[in-house]
Amino acid sequence: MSYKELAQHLQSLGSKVVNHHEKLEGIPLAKAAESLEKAIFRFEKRLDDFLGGRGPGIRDLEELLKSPQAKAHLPLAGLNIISQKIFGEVLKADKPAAAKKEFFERVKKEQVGEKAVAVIKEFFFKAAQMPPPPEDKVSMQNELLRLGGLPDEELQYEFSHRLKSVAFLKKLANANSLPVSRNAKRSELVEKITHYARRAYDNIAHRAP
Amino acid sequence: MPGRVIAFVNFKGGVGKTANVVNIGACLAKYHGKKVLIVDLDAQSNSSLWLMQPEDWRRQTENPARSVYQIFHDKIRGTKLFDFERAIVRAVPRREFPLIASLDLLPAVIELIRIEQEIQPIRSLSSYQILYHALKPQLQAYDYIFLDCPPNLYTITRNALFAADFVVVPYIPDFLSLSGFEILVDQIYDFYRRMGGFLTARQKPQIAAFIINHFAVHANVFEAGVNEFEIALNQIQKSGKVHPQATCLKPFIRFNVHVAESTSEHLPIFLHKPNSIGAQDYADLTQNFIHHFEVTL
Repeated sequence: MSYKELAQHLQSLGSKVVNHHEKLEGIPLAKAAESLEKAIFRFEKRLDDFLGGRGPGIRDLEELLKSPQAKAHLPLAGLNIISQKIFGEVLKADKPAAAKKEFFERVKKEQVGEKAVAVIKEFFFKAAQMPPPPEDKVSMQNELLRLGGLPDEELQYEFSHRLKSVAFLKKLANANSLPVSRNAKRSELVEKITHYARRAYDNIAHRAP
Repeated sequence: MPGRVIAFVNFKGGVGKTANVVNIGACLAKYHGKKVLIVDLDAQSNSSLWLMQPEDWRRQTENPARSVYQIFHDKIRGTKLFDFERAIVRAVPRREFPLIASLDLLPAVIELIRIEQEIQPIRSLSSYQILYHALKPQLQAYDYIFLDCPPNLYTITRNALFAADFVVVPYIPDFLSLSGFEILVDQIYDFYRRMGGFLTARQKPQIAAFIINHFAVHANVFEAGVNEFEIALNQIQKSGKVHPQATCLKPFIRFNVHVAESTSEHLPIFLHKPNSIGAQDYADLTQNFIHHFEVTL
């Protein structure tokens, strides 16, 4: 059923009640009428909320505060950053749920729903962005591929001459997301780089320029 | 401004095409106020059955004319029976009443499986333009039109490629996907090269984004797979076979059981488990998706 169909149903029901209201009586009908009135009251309240009865932006704000991004990116500290931007001060509550409630009520009271929505959307946008990859990531990836294509003796030569620095080997491993431990020694780095360089070359070789 | 038509394509099955289409589409509509149409082009009807109760879907598609099938059937039979207004299911999913007002679905039906055979006698380059012409009148009504393609590169997927402004490739970071991905890029590039003469008035569509699915943090196993994919992508970008700004959209979508479960509930993850990591990943990905397609490209 669509809401248009619901509206048509309500209109036709309303006409029927108006046309026969003087004859309507009895306990079953009265009980059904009482439940219908309560249901209509609840529905009307929800509808008014949906249509912005609590002020512009409030429904969108409610949605945003319940969204998955709010769960991920709006701990107390995040809410305080937003509060600072909107009200010029942090929230009084020191628990996330209470802070969220305080924030919501204050936005409603001060009628700044649209501003709050804009600030939160901007906050979520920034939170969803990942830190940019290191500038030399592509060159490190190309280096791994190049090493993978070298004959054994040339690869050994590279490790013993050009790639002597442990710091560089770590950089190469990290840029290529290789599974090396934080305190990896040179031997572990050489072993892992050799394995994954060979693997990358074998898997991608026909694409190499 | 006409809506962006985006085809989600991979001839490998189980890489997350339908999950991406349904959940990014739902997020765009629910949290970003976008008007979204999902066109289900797969005979398995997975996005239709994700967003509709099976009984509603059966009732809708008892007459295949009320599905995407009729678009192709009309071309094959020379009829004009497709009626967008009858075929479209507005505001999906529904629980008697709409749950997301600005998410529409053009459902699929199992009969789509016959299209490949039926289209043989009339197969020509023009048979790849059927969907494009059928969707053209709807472009102004939507911000995004997502084409959920079957796991192959046959006629229906080629129709999606022709109709699309951009192609998104859902991907799983393992070698089997990597080997297929390189062939996929070649096939899509070759298709657009062959169709070039029919694309004169339009910007040439290209692969513009990749979405990494089923990601898990296990001793860098998947990171290494992603790294090999990125290395392959670096090589392919040099060849100009994908959009110069083509990128792996972040974050990667982690495997989440609630996303799988949400198919049985016939709900996008945002309505099923809005606090799950699946919902969080899709919410952040959609934010970056919008930026990529509306700002970067």
